[in-house]
Amino acid sequence: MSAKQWIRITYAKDIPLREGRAVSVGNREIAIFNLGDRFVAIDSRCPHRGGPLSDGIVSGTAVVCPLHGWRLSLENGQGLSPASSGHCVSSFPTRVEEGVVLVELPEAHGPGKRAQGAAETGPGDSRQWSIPLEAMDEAWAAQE
Amino acid sequence: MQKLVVVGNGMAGTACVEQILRHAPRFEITVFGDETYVNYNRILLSSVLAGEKSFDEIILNGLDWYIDNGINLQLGVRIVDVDAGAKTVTGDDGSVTSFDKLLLATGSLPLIPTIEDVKKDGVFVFRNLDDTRALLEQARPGLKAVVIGGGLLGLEAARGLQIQGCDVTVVHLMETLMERQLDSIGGSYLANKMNQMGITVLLGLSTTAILGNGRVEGVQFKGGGSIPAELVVIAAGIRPNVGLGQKAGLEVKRGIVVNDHMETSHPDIFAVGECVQHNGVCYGLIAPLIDQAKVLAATITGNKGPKYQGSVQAAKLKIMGVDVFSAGEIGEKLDGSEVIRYEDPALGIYKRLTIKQNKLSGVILVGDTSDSHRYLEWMRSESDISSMRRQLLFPETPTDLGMAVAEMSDSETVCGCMGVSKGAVIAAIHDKGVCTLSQLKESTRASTGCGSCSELCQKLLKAVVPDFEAEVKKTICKCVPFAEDQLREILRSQQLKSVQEVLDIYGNGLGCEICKPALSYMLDMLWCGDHDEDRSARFINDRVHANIQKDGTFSVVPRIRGGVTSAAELRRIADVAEKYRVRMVKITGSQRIDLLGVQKSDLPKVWADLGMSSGQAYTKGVRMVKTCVGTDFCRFGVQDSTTAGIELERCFENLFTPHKLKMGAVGCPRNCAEATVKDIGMVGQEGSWQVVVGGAAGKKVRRADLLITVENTEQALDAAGLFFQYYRENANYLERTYDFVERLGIEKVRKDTIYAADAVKQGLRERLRRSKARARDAWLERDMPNHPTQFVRIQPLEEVLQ
Repeated sequence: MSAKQWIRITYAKDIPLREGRAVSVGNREIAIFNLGDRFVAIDSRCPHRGGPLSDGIVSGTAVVCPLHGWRLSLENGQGLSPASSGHCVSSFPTRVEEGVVLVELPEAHGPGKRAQGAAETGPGDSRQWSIPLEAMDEAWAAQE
Repeated sequence: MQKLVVVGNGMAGTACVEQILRHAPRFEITVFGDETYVNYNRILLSSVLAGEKSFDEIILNGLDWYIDNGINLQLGVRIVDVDAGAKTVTGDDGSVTSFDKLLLATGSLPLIPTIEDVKKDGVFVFRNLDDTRALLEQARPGLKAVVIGGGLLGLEAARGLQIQGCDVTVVHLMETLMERQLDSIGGSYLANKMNQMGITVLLGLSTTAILGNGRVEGVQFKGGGSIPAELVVIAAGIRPNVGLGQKAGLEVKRGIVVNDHMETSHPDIFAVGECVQHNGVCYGLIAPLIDQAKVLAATITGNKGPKYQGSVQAAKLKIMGVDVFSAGEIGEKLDGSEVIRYEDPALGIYKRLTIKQNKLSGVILVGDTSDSHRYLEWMRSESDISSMRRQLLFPETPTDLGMAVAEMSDSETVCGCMGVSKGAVIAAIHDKGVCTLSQLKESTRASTGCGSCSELCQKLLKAVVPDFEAEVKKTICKCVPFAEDQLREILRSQQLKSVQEVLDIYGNGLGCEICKPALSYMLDMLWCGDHDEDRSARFINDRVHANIQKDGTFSVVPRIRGGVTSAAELRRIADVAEKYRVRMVKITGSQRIDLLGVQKSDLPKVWADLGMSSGQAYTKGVRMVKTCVGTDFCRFGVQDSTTAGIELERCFENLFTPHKLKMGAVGCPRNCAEATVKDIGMVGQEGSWQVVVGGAAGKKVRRADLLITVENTEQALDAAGLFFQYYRENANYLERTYDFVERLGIEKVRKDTIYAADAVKQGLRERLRRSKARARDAWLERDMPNHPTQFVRIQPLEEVLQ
């Protein structure tokens, strides 16, 4: 049984360069980013507090969650900052055909598969707490 | 989400919450604190008493930290009961809160020796901020103060009171000061030092009674002797605060008993800090708390594995000029141990090392603690020191600073309180662009405990940071390795107009969430709005012109100039709130109305229905002008502050600034709209306006400096404009006016603005005029979006096959 399928998501021009957009597909919400030379797709909710990753600032091949600054790889969903290290979101293969971005998604129901090679949070994983939290920039603080 | 209730808002409870937040979110956290303050660094209370630090400086996490992390903070509520069966806690306000997991971080209580008539006016304990404030209120030059207790806390309190001018005597029950940390020789060296400083030390005296009628007049000792006292501080030690543990039916000995995973005898109740007993030991210092917090966070979040295996007890006396350090074994008679001593009575230096099986097991240092971190590291790592015996007491201290730092291994601890290694400090310097001690504190938490490692941290910074001398030459981040003033020059001279161009030519080509918004601001400011705007380099708030909330929705704050609105406007706001099911309508502290919980895709419709312009409440830009009712209605108003304030807001609105900018205008010096704590304020006087700048009433409270006094509103607006543009052009990104003005000094600000040569002033006015001419109400993008999907929710072209 084929558990995966390529879904036609949206027109490439709908996603501006170095920005992301959230799309609900089936029972999941994914964030698609335009990196200039390719499109990438990951789960759109930050593993920290569920922040909308599609609204984050793109930094190379990473995105920074707008809520508390968690940094996640757009290539494999893995956490890259001290705080997010050890956490991850699912990432999905993409391709572009005739100006349309397609994303390969697992079966329609059930939870998303973890990214390949992503570290599980586990007992004794010293990275969980041996590295200090990334300084939370005032930019994330309440605005008024 | 499970409910986690934390009882205790002190250092241990907070450290646990900080650690728990590093794990995947699984808790709705409620923190109860019986004090009415946010969490602060209790270790530094003695520094507050000594006037070395203000309360603000010892705050660990302000209110915004609780808000940002979604923590429900209940201050001033003392939890009085725990029902382990029903899983509820009861507060002294009668509230009952249920929990799935409970964390007791109740700390310790002061130990009050049996003394007759101890409850008299003028008798204090020294345990929390209120105690400290009370002591500061009472202390005055010449006051006779007696501190009962010659331990760490007692001695620090004594020194603090002495700095406040009191005539201080320390009365200690034992024959040795700090007998828990020092042997008798070390204690005598310390007592000499205290005496030299002018603090009288009385040893081996048991206090039996407080003398006086209602108010303290003296203290009496066993055997009959007494000394006069007008103020008494009892600092005779602490005992674990285990009351709630007992009520919950937990196993309690001296402290609440916990195992290596920080579990108590109840599966859903945990305990940490000074209230616990681990392996027969109760700890009263900070480093063990941090170790415990890390383990507890792993256990409670379902990542059980790391074990707490006890801590090396190390203590440092924090009195300027009195260096005392102690760690590990200090006993006089130790089986199988060797003791090495060095004494120099003239210099007041005493060193004692205890060695067991070629390993360092105890250290006492009085008079010279410069090698304390090295000894502590040897103890923690259980290093074999047999090859170093010749240099043990006098480790060769390289004169070259770089060498001294280079000698430390990467794993060597720099900050024992927070458990930060040399490697972590260096990583912070390289990876996060840390250049200063304050940045290091923020980034790694190093030196935020007892603070005694600050010197070592400074040395490390000096040795590693390339441009340490030029502390002001702070780079934005590692992506663009230039100081901001340098970068502004480059952008100007090289005619760069887009963020990506700057990153490609002068940076790493990638950029990050720190430099991209900073560069966006600089380009907009430098080219007066005539730059290549790249929304991908802006924070989400500036892409959709609304403030993102914790659930991903947005808040909408329309511009209500000077806080003056109308019935029609209010009616429209009410209609919008209902139509878009706004979750909360909030009057802000800035005389405005905030509509919270709006979906991104609804923003353009909301703005259109409101028919008002953007209040810029989401950006680093011009926020608002708060005004009083001025002369129109007020009996006291001497200037028309409402009209002037609205005009001030119109002059600057829609412009970006290095950080948010709030203003105020008041019609008389009664200052009802608080203009003197705004970034820019206009204060009306009879026949004149005072223009004030650099005020703050946020994280920091600062009274604004007077820029100039002028005769009329036009001149006031001009002076405000000169300052406004000067700040835009010269402040670093994210530098508020109050830091900016303080950094430069108000005299320099005046010289460069109101007293500057006419040509300079004309330049400032002209660039402000040009920027203003290009600035637009951001909400007009409702009709002319920056991109077709700026606000639109993308729908997939096809659905997933079911």
